[in-house]
Amino acid sequence: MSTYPFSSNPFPKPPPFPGLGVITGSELLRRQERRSTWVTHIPLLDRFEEGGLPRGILIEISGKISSGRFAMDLAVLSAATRAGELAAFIDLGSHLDPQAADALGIDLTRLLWVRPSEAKEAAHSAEMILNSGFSLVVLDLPERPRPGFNEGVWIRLSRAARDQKAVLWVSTLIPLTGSAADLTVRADRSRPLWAGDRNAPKLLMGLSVDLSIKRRRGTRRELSGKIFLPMAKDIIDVKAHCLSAGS
Amino acid sequence: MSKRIACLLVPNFPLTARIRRDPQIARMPVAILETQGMTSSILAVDRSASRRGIRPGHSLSQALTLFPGLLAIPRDLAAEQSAQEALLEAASGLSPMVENAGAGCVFLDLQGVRSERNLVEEAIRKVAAVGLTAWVGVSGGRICVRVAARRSRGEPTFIPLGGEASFLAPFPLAWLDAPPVLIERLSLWGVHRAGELAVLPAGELAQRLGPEALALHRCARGEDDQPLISWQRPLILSERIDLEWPLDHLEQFFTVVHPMLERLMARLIVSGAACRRLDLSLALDPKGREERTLSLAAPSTEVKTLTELIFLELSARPPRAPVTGLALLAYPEQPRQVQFSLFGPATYSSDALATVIARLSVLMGAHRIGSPRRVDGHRPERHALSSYVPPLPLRTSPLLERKPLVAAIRVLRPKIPLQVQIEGSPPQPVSVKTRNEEPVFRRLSGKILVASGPWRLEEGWWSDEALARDYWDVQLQDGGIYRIFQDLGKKHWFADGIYD
Repeated sequence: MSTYPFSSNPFPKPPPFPGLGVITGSELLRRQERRSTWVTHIPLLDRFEEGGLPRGILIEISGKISSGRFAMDLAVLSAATRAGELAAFIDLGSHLDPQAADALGIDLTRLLWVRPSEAKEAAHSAEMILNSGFSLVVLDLPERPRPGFNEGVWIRLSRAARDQKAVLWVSTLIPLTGSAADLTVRADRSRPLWAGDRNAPKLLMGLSVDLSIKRRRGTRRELSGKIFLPMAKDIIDVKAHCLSAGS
Repeated sequence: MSKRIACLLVPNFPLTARIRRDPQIARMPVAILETQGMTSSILAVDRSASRRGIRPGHSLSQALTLFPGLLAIPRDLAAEQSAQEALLEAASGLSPMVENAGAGCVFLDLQGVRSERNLVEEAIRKVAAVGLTAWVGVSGGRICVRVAARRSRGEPTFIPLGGEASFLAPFPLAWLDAPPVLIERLSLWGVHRAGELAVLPAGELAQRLGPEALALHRCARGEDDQPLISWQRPLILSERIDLEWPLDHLEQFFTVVHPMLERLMARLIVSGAACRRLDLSLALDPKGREERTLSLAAPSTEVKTLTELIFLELSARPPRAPVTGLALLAYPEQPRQVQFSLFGPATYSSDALATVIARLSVLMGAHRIGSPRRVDGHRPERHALSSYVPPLPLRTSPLLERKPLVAAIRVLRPKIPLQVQIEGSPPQPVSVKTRNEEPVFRRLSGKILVASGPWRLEEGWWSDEALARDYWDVQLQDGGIYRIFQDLGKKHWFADGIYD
């Protein structure tokens, strides 16, 4: 005959409906809260947001060429689509490589690729897509918008993201969104890491990027740090093989 | 087991079909005109016109003399065809065997139906949902059931098994769809009603008046041993309209399109389907046609959505001439059933998705929007797009494996032509400059700090589209790290990617 172990309560309350998969209301709320955040798999950003991005916000990431912005765009798209969410990539300039995106784990069937021809069209598309129920919209603007671009559009986009509980991720060359952004990420000039001695052939191993994250609304927190973006291993292997064969 | 048939009869069909097209004429004194050559005669009239003595067969001048306020409108065969299809679709949702019995009439097989009354009530509801009114009769033979429906005047008439002959007996022979010549000959014999014909001996009747009289005799006795001829549901549903005058403004056009879409979607809903693709066929003034196709990302029956899509399409590319006729063709598909989940990722609305995809396609062209697809090969710039049809949402959120961050390449499309200075042994690029006037983002210029390469890429050497390139990774003074290459055929240099 089994006995309860000695404790202050020898008859603990059993879970309701054990074995039937039924959960309590409080557990349901906890799960919903967990669902309302979203892991980006960008270590510094996840640490800053303590586990994941909240929904309904506009995040701006700005940085010059080769600052790792594009890699981070793809990383959030990968995290979202692998989680089963619908994501849109508004790619002004048509820079996406579907093969690389697939290798990074982006579920291409859940990704809507929009290739506008100008920034105004890109902003218009972002607003339409946000209002149609997408969980993540990544708006990549590789250059400064032309004069005449309505700066007020960011307020509208921020409101659309908040209303739709979506994340709008704006990737720009210089900060553009102003007070409309809930979170700003600054990717400062990266330092490439080259393998190979002074006279030996060089090999690009990756980019080291300085990130600084600021919250615009609520508590004014800041976090800075470095991230390293290595080149994909298969590319390094192929290039190293070519170099050794050549030398 | 004896046959049981229901007849759905739309009274005054040419007029009802026209009212289905233009509901605003329902309360006016209306007559439908049929024009043959230079003469126009009345084909159908509504009740208020009928009360003033106007009858089918009157000429237009006679009708206008009787009632000058009469609204005489030409017959619309396209609207009648659409109404007939709608009637057949409504009926086919109730019985596996449906026969098209001509304008405004459909027979349904009721074999094995437990409650004929329930099915008839459901049929009346379904027919009303597609904008028509049906009189219904139920009996064992075609002629009998048609007479029963015609006589029912809104209240379904059920003729019990074996009661067909007695039911038909008091009706004039003209109600049995007999040829006028035969009716005239029989009236000379003193036979005017079905009951009088039914008691005559069949053999002698056939001997004197031929097989037509024998067939009419069988009808008068309520006999019908021919099986129903099954109607096959078309793969595409259509609504057509011929306009009396050409439309040259988009606003006018939409007063016509919106009710057509409502009717078409009502038919789809009755069939348990939704629209995946909508084709517009526009008849232009004075001649010619224009075809438009709207593909939806997800099946939809939302009239508002589809109206908006047509508006966007025609605003972006207006028809080249005024429109004199219009056909809408809907390609049906099973609607998506989305189960909302408490624990899975947020789900989406098929209609909203379909609308936004179509709006974006109109805004920037269909070739600029879609789902990216992998393409086999080695050219770094290769890419393909397909229609965006996302899979259904996951039921539960998956536990994600952490993917390490890696550097990505921003592909430059189109590739940027470069002027490259080469020095040293082995030769290496030492500075680059864009050759043409490029946008700021695509301008490369300056000394190369680090150059790594070359990596040779060869593809398709056996074909006309052979590719041979020597690739270099270069770091410029401005900090940008680019992928550049030399085309070994033409010896030209290009940049085709940025490490970012």
